Amino acid sequence: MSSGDGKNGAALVDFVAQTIQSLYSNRRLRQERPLLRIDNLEDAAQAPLQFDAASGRLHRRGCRSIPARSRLALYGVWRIGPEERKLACSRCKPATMEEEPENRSDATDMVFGLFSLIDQFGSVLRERGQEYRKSEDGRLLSRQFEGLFQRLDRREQDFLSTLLTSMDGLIKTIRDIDDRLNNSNGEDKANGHDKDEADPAD
Amino acid sequence: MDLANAPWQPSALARERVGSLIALYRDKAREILYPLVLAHYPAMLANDGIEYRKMIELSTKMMVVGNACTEILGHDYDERRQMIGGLFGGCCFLADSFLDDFGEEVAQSYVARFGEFLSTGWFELKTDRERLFYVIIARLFVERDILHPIARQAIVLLHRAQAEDVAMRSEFGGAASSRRSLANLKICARNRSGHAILVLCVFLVPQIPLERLTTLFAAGALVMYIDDHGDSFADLTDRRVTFMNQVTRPERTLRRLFLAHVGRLYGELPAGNGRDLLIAFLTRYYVTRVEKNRHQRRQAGSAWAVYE
Repeated sequence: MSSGDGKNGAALVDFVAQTIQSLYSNRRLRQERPLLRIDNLEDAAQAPLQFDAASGRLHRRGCRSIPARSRLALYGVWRIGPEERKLACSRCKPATMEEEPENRSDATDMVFGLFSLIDQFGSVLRERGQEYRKSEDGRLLSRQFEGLFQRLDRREQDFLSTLLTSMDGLIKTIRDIDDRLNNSNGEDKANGHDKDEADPAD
Repeated sequence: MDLANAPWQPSALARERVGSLIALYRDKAREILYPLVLAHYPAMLANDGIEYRKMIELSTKMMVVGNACTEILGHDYDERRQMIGGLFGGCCFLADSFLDDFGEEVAQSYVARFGEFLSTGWFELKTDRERLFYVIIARLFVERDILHPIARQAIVLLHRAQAEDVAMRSEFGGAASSRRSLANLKICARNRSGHAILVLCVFLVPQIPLERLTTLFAAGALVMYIDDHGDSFADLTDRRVTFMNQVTRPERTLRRLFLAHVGRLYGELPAGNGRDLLIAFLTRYYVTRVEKNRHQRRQAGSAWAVYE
């Protein structure tokens, strides 16, 4: 979503961004987990190519021609484009490198990413869901959802039920695995809090 | 070199364009930033809004630079990109204020906490100024794929350069003691502003070819040398050591740097409106900042941002 979509969209971005940080400050989320790691300098330092933004030279990682003064001007680069061969260092000749196979994120990473969010924000989502379900908007949505469900044919209803049950099951499985791992590490935590503080509905 | 006959000398049209864009973007910067300041940090409007007006000036500058960079990189500087430029200016102003305006402790705290934010995404908001800063960052982050490898590196390298700047200040304590420390100050200024202009560019366009990246990095470095020369006396008053306030003949050094950098921009960037705008803006910035430095040398002045 672009904050240029309108004033409401931009205000929503502000609200969500601040709310997430205040949830963290109020210790309502898993404290030990990052929300978003922007810092990729460790990975970038391991990239096969290093581009010196100050001199405009493209080197192989570890090339001795990289000047010390460029230490904080190096950008990790994973592949060299045809237009960029002219920037290659004449000493290490990165243009002659064979390309390493690309380590792409696949759909499984996306699914795990989604579940990590559900897991991290689970208690907040559940609490918000319960509140929303009781609100006027929530009741309206619930009626609309029931109406929509009635209009689906039997096959579509079965598919939707299976999908919801599968999601529920998958979340539960991930939580069980996570709890087992936590307990095996000698920790007795539930969703980032001591068990005494956990939602009694658990 | 005779500046008036240099091949890169901005045309009358390019100079006029800078003037009209500054006026236009000053109004736009207000449109973008005023509602945010009002909602999250209204105290900034106190004292006749001096600090707010400084922020608008920096934002205006970033919008003009953003316009030039966007055109150089082959895109239109549309409304959305203007908004990104304006937000980026606000973000830079606030980050610079944490680094420069509230003493060493606040600067070190900002460096540590922003480093934590870049590693984890968590940022505890302690003041309204921080809240405004964070809201602006959040708005910028939704405008682009923030996990793009070059975008991530530009942001983190900018932060590393800021951290090094803060560390060097406490190390030098008011004066650079050797030739080597002077060289380090110059590299630090280059990195800080070089990465800053690249951060602006990664928010503005989806891809930056490496060839352009290095030339724009040089343009960013030049902005910092010019800026530091203009603020030279104010920085010395605050015991803030910079390359430009430590060299023995700053005006001559800046002229040499300006000619070398602008010559490089002219030679390496594709001919067109973007290149002309960038060079015309830098020329105007150079001339006004040299004048500002002379003015401050004559009478102890303020750190007010000037273009005229």
